Amino acid sequence: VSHAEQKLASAEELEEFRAAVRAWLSTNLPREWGETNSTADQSQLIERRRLWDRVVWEGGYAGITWPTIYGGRELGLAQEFVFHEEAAVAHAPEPLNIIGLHLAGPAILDAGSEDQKRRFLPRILSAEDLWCEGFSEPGAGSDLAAVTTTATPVEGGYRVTGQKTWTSFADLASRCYLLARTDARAARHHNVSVLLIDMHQPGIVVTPIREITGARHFTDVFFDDVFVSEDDRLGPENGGWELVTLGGLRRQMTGLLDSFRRYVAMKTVLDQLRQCVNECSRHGLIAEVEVLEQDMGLLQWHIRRTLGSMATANGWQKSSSILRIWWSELWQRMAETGLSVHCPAHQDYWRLQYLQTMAWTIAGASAQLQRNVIAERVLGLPR
Amino acid sequence: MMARMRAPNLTQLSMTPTAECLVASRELESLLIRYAAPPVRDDWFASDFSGLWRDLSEGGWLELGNEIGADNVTGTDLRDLLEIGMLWGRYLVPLPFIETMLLRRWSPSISLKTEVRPAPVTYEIVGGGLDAVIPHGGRFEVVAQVDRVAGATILQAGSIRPDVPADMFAPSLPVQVVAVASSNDSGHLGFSTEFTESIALLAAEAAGAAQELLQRTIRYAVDRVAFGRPVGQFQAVKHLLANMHRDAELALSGSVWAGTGSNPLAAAVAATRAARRVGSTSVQVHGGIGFTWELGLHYYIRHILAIDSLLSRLGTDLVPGNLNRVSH
Repeated sequence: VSHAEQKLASAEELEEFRAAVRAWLSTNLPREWGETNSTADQSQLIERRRLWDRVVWEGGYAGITWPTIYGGRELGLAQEFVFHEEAAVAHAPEPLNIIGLHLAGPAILDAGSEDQKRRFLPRILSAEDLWCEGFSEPGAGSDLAAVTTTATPVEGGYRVTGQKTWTSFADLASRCYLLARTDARAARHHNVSVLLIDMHQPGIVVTPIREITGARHFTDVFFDDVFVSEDDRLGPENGGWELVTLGGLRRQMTGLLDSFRRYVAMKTVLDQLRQCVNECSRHGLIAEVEVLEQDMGLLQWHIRRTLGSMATANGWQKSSSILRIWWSELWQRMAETGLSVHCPAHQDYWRLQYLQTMAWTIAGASAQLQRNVIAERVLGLPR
Repeated sequence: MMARMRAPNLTQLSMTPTAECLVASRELESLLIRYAAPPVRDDWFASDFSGLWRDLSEGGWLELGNEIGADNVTGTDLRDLLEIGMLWGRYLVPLPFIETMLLRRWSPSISLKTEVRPAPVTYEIVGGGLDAVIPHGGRFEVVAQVDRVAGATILQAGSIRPDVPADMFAPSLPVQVVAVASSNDSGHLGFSTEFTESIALLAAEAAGAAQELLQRTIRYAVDRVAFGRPVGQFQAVKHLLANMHRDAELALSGSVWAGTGSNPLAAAVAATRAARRVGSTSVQVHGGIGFTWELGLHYYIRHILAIDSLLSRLGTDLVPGNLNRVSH
C-alpha cells in the first residue's frame, strides 16, 4: 500500500506536531459546538461536519499522509492518528466526506492512474467533491459479491443500470465509488469493477430512505443506462473485488482510518456519559463507566500498536482485523449504559445513540461476517 | 506489500519489540522447550526445574533486564521486556524469573544467592486489613524491598507453603511473585517506574497466557470432530475464536499501554480482563474436556485470574498512602 509507506517521525517530532494540532484546534474549533453536541439536531450536526471538512482543509490537516502534489502533507499515519487523538479530546466533529477521505481517496492513491489522482484527490481534500459508496444492493449486503448492478462495456466506457441501497449522503454527493458487474460470464469475484461515477448526470435518481433513527441519510440510488467513461474505472477491468474485499489490504487500511474517526466520535459520547452519570448522581453506574473508559483506552492503544505492527504483514493483519468488532460493540455498550442512566436532560440523545449504534455492527459487513473473516483469514480455521 | 511499510512511534515506548529482543526471545524459548513443555500434566508444577534455573542463571538470563530494555529513564525498551513477559506467560514455568530479572534491573548490585530457590517478592499493602496476594494463589509476606537510593534489601522469607494449594482450583505455583514497591518523590507508589514496570510485566504474562490458550483452542477446534466435521468449521465456534483473538490482542495492547506509565493500573486491569475472557471462552470451545484438568487449561486460567485479582485489588485499594513507603 504505497500511500501508507511510513515516514518515520521521532517522538519529539510527533510531540511538536501534537502541540501544533492542539493549538490549532483551540482556535479553529467553534466552542459552541462542543457545548451543544448533545442537543443539536441531526441536520445541524451534518452541517457542522460539512463546515468542519472545509476548516480542516484550510488548516492543512486534510490528507496528512497524502502526497503534497495532491494537496496532502506527506506525513505518516502516526501524525494522522495524533491529529485524531487531539480532535477526540477537543470533541471535534467527524468528517462528512468519509467515503472520499477514507475509502475512495486511499484506493485512488494506490490503484488510480496519474490522471485520476490529479482529477479526484485535491477535490476530495478541499471538500469540493463529496463522495458516496455504491456497494450494497437489495440483494447484496454483507454478501457483496452478489451485486447485480451491471456496467455493460460500450465504446469508450460502460453503461450502468441497477439499484444501490442504504447509500449514505448520495443526495449530497458528486461522485460515487461504485461496485458493478462488468462481466456477465466470469466467475464470482472475477466479474466486478470499481467505477468512479459522476452523480450529477441524467439517469441517476436518488430517493431518501427513512432510517430507524427517524433521519433520512440513507438513500436508494437508481442507475438507468448511465454512461461512465473508461477513464473513470479504478484499476483493471474485473479487478474490483481486490479493491473492496474485506480481508484485502486496502479495505484494512480503510478500516484503520475508520477506527481513527470512530475513536473521535466515541470520545465525545463517552465524556457525555460520564457527565450524565455525574450530574444525575447515578453512583451505581460509575464502575460500569470506568470499565467503558478502560476499554476505550484499549481501543486507543490498540490503534497505536496496530500502527506499530505495520512493518510486518502478518502482525498488521492480526492486529487490524479486530478494530471494527471492538469499536462497534464498545460504542453499543456505551449507548446501552447511556440509556440506563435515564438522564432527564439527555433522554433523546441516548435514545438516538442507542438506535444509531445498531448500524455499527451491520454497515460495511456485519459483525458476524467480520468474525468469519477473522476466523478463516487470520486464525486459519476451515471453511 | 505491507512489508515495505515501517512502523511509526507514537510515544516514548516502542509499540514493537526490537529485532534483538526477538532473537533473545527465541533463544529463551528454546531453553524453555528443552526443560518445560507448556504445562499439561497435573503434577507439572511439582517437577524439578532446578536445571532450568541453573541455566537461566549461568546463561545470564537473569540480567536480561539490564541488557535489553536497559533504558529505563525513557522506558523505551520496556516493550522488549513485555515480549519476554508474554513468552513467560505462555510457558508458566514456576520459577521467579521475571521477578528476579526486574530486581536486577532496578538494582544491579543485588545479591540473589539467597533466592536461587524461588523467593517471594511483592507489594506491601498496608491498611484496610489487606493481605498481599500471590498471583498463583496463597498468601505470603514481604521478603524484599527496593529503594531507589539504598538499593534492594532481602528480608526474611515468610511462611510459605508452596506445596499446599490455596484452594481446590489448581495447584499453587511455588513462585511467590511480584515486584517491589518503591515510592517516588511524592510518595505515590503508583507513579514509580518500578511499579509501572512490574504491573506491565504482570499484564504481559496474562496476555501471554491468553495467547497460549488461543493457540491451543484453535488447534483443538481443528482437530476435534463432532457432527462429522471439525468443530472449528461451525460459524458459532468460529465467532467464539474470533472473540478470543480480539481479546488476546487487546490484552497485549493493554500491557503496552500499562508500560507507558499512563494510567498503568487501569491499563493492566483492562488487559487482564480481556485475558480473562479468553480463558472462559477457551473452556467453552473445548466443551466438557475444557471443564476438567486434563488439558492444562486450568493452569493458564488460574494464572490469569490470580494476576487479575492482584491488579484489581491494587486498583481498588491503591490510593496514595495506602501503600507503604518502603523507603522508611
